[in-house]
Amino acid sequence: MEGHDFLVKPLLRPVVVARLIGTRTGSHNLAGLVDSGADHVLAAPWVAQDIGVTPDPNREIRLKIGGSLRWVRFADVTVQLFPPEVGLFEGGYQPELAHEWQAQVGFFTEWDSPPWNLVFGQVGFFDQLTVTFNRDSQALAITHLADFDERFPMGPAAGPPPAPRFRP
Amino acid sequence: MLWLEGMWRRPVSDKARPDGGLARIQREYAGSWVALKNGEVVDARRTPYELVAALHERDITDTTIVRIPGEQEAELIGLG
Repeated sequence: MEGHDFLVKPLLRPVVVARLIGTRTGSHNLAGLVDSGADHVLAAPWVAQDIGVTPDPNREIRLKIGGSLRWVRFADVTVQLFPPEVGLFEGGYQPELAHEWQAQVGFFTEWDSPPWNLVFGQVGFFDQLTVTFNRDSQALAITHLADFDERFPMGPAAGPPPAPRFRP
Repeated sequence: MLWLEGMWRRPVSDKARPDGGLARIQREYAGSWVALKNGEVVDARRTPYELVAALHERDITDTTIVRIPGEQEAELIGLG
């Protein structure tokens, strides 16, 4: 990257391999970015066509992404997440290995070349699984949802109650 | 259930550039959308639409589709 000679450490991205199913199973696996900063599971427009879904115009929101406002329409689909054995490079389709669930996925109405075909955000991904990142290991661990409470049985520390902002 | 996934590595300089299949693909296909199968790129195009159409024309399914960032591209925060 221009002007980045001083950067020695590589950029790492948490990527998983998944496939979506609508009225038909998607033709290809997708590299999905695991993004805790995203509120939803989002997918490129072509993916909706590939899996035979028509995202609902009555379930439409506008997001600001990449400096632009983009419309996203949601559809209910099946998400298949594949284990590391189904690697990015290997391709292939082994549905018996997939962890599968139903999710509300937002499809961009227009985006010619998004940087990722699939982004896994809070609703639809982080509410289904426990995800642990560790850059030192250059890995992320995906475990069942209850794993977090099992590892950290005490809940987060409760803060003081918020100060009243107004008197009714 | 425990799945341990390695992270996708994007080198930012020659100092950090490893050898191996991923590095070679990133060098050869920087800025392109690629379809990967059995460790190799089976097709590469400028946009995902062109790629999926080409794969459909060639009757190729069950690849993994991913975009290879260009080396001069700015870092993305999430979706950019």
